[in-house]
Amino acid sequence: MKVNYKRVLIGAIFLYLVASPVFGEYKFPPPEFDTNYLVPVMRTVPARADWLVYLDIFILIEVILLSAWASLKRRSRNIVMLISMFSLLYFGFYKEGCICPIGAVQDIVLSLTNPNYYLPFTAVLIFIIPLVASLFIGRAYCGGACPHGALQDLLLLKEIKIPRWLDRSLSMLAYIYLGLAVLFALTDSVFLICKYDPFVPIFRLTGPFYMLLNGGFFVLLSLFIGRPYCRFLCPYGALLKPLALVSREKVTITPDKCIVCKLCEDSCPFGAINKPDKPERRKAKNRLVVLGLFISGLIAGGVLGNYTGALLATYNRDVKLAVEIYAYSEGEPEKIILSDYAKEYIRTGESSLLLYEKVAGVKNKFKTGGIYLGVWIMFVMGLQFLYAARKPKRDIYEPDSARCMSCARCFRDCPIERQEKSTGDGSRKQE
Amino acid sequence: MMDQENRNNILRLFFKQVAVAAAIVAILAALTLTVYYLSGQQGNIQDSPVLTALKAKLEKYPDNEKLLFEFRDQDLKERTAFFRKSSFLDYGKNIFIVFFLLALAAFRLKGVFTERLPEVKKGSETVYKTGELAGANIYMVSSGLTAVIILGLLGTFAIWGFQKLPFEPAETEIKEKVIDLSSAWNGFRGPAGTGLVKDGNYVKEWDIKTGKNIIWQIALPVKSYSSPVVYKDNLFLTGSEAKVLKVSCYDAKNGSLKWSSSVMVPVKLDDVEIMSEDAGGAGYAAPTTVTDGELVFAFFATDHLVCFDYAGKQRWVKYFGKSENTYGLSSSPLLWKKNIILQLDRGGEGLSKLVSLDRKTGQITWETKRPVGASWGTPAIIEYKGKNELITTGEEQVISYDPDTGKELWRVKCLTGEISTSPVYGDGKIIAIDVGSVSTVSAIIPGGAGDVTKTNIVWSMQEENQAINTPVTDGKLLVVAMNSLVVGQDIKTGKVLWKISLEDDFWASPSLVNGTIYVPSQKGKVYIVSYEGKLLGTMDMDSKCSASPAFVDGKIFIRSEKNLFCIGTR
Repeated sequence: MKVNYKRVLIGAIFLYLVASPVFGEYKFPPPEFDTNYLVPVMRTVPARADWLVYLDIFILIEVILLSAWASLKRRSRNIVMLISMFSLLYFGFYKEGCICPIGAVQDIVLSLTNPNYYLPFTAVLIFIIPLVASLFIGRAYCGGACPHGALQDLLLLKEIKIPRWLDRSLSMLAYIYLGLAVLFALTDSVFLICKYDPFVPIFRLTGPFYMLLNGGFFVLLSLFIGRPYCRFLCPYGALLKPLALVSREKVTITPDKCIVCKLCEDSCPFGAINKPDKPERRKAKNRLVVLGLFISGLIAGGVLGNYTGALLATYNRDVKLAVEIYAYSEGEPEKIILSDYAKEYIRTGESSLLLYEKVAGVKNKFKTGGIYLGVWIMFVMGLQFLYAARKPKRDIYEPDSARCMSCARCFRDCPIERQEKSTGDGSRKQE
Repeated sequence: MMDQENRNNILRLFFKQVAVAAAIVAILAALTLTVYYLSGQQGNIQDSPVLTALKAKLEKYPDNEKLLFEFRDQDLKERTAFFRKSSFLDYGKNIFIVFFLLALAAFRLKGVFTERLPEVKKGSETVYKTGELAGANIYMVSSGLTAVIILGLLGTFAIWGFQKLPFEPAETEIKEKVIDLSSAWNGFRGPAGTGLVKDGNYVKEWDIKTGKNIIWQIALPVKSYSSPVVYKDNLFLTGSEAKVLKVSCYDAKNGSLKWSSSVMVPVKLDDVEIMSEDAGGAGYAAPTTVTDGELVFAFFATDHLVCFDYAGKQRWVKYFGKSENTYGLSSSPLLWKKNIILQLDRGGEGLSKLVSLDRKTGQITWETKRPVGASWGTPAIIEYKGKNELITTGEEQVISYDPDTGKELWRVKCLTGEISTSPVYGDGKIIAIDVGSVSTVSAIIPGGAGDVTKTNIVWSMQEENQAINTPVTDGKLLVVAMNSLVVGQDIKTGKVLWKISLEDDFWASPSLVNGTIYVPSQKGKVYIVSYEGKLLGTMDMDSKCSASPAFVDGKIFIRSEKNLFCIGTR
């Protein structure tokens, strides 16, 4: 009997999702009477030794370089895959996904506004190294070093192609998410990226229910869509994309020998291969009108962002606390179930007016930040329009440098590449 | 020798079998986990119906040992079952993860060794034209749609964000309310802290047994030396009850309890040692409250200053650190402009200080260290030559401060012993009394700078007995109530004008009301004395009176040890 492995694996994943509550954290009360049992003393886990942290950085650099070598020089999907499996095990399951460059942006941003926030130099390195690397070797980090991407790659069993226009629209989400994450980090509210990271609870084999739910959702998506988190939500990917566009070394397939067979496009699960195109010449739009629309969009974004910021402020923990305390102090206290945070606040005896004053400051920060967020979103939207309006003439299939994750799948399926490899010209020189 | 193709085939087959086997184990593990998770004991031991029922029984029959052992056995049984299940799920989870990842990895590795020629998918063809939708660039259309959706969302969020937070004040609410406190008895010894009343008709005779001139009386559930404070229909009292600090509000019209709130403090009261009233200490709640007409402020011997609103809700509490005061604190908070001023004189080097706090928030506006040890008096604010001065009495000295900044202005060394008396002001003189075996009264002129002991003491005289309360003056007559003696003196010179010998002691301070002196006593009496020193009457109360009475709108509010009385004509 022929076994359909894909179905078996998909079935296992569904079952895993059903059984996921067993991963949840559980608290159990001690007995209500005296026993001989000694309740263990709570201990703080010591920080990772410095030399190990630097070893992590060294490994990160090595993995990025290896990944670049495998995709740009060796052009081997298998090697890239093996590297990414290592990254999944090391950066994912061993390091439990922290600290990673994706979340490090928040540490950097918070340290800019909060001098009391300690930012380790290693965190800065972890944030910067993949960015710098992408300027020279494209998104090699995404291809082989990112455990999030590796896990999604591993999970992709039955690919469903996303239309290019939808892909482009959805990729806006990553920029909005980045803007929101920066705003929430700047206001010392929450590390949004970490809080809603879908894969960290999988790496840690535990986590709060909402994280497991989020992880389950992305695991399901990853079964059918190539790297959905990386393409549509990853805020670090949003930073890497423009840098990869101007990268010194770029992934190319076979520019001089392309036979326009479309196999590379079919092989790419990320919609990162641009098709040949012969656009018709159209009359250029009035540039002043376009500029006017762009500026109007930025202004509208700023105005709307200002008030959106006020709404976002309600997700700040101090604002939530103030709302809770207000309801408690103005309503009937005995009917209100307070959160532990609110109980703790009341225990301090601080005047709620001080909290309200503090919250007014927080709200103002959010409103100001909201202006920048609105402008940022409209600015990226404007770039999206400009990008959509481009009419490059293209005779062959070419990887889109911004979207290409350096996974090397396109080389594997390219007949010219295969032919060259079979004739011994395996390590193709970059054009 | 095996050729490349054969080797690849073997590896492909190997990884295929591994993938299938691992996937089957993972599925079995997941199935087992799911079934096992849903079976048997589900949740927390707290939700166990058997244990809950046993617990209820045990609460009913706490001495039933058989029941106790049954409860313990059941608890152990359920606990063991729970941890066995948790352990099983934990191992099962790890088995699932390992085999699941193994299946995925083997599946991928199988692909590595599978020689599969890529094919152009069915229906796929090379496109030489940008995607179009009804003749328009499809990317422009989708970008346009995205922009509309984003703007729509931003607009919706902006509308929601336009709303104010529930505690944000409306523009009309920002103006500060001005509250007239002139007719209130809003702090220790009245609005000016003098114990002086210049208008209103107050009875000089009453009888708690017959109810004559007793408007109402209520039993007090809490004990303390603090005095009643009245604003409009609200009468505030503090007290303590089994280490619970209480602030209570009564209806001044009929004595009904409006609210009684326990103070929520951030420290364990069990850790605070306070000398109780019965042991000769000041107890937990000797300081009198003060109110600004909107908020009421209470200070306790635990070193907590607490603010309540008129609905009995605690607004803030400020803790000043562990008390080092032998008898417990008794200095009352004082209202000054937007602040509350508190004299915190404690034993121990450098622990005494004056603190000013913002009324609304409890934030410290200024703080000044005091070079004195423990004392129990309440400071007074006087106006001298158009300037306000905060006068304090303490160990050895009277010190004046600027009430707006806390900066020391001058000091006079004229006190000895443990100072429980507060300063009073009249005829341009500050009267300070010390508490030795006999008391010395000093009259001091304010003003100057630094140590003005040599220049500012106008007169000083030794009394016959010990006074521990605060005297009262109208600027002419100075009345001092001391052990067994009430004395009237000329404030200009200190000359004794009259004296009344009484076999009694006085902890509560006397009040001078329209020329009549009211002196509550430790023997549970209130002596009514005329301006000229004639004993007009002795009113019996039910128990000793250590709190100073409040005089408001023709009514006298007196707190005895056990009861609170409203005295006057109906």
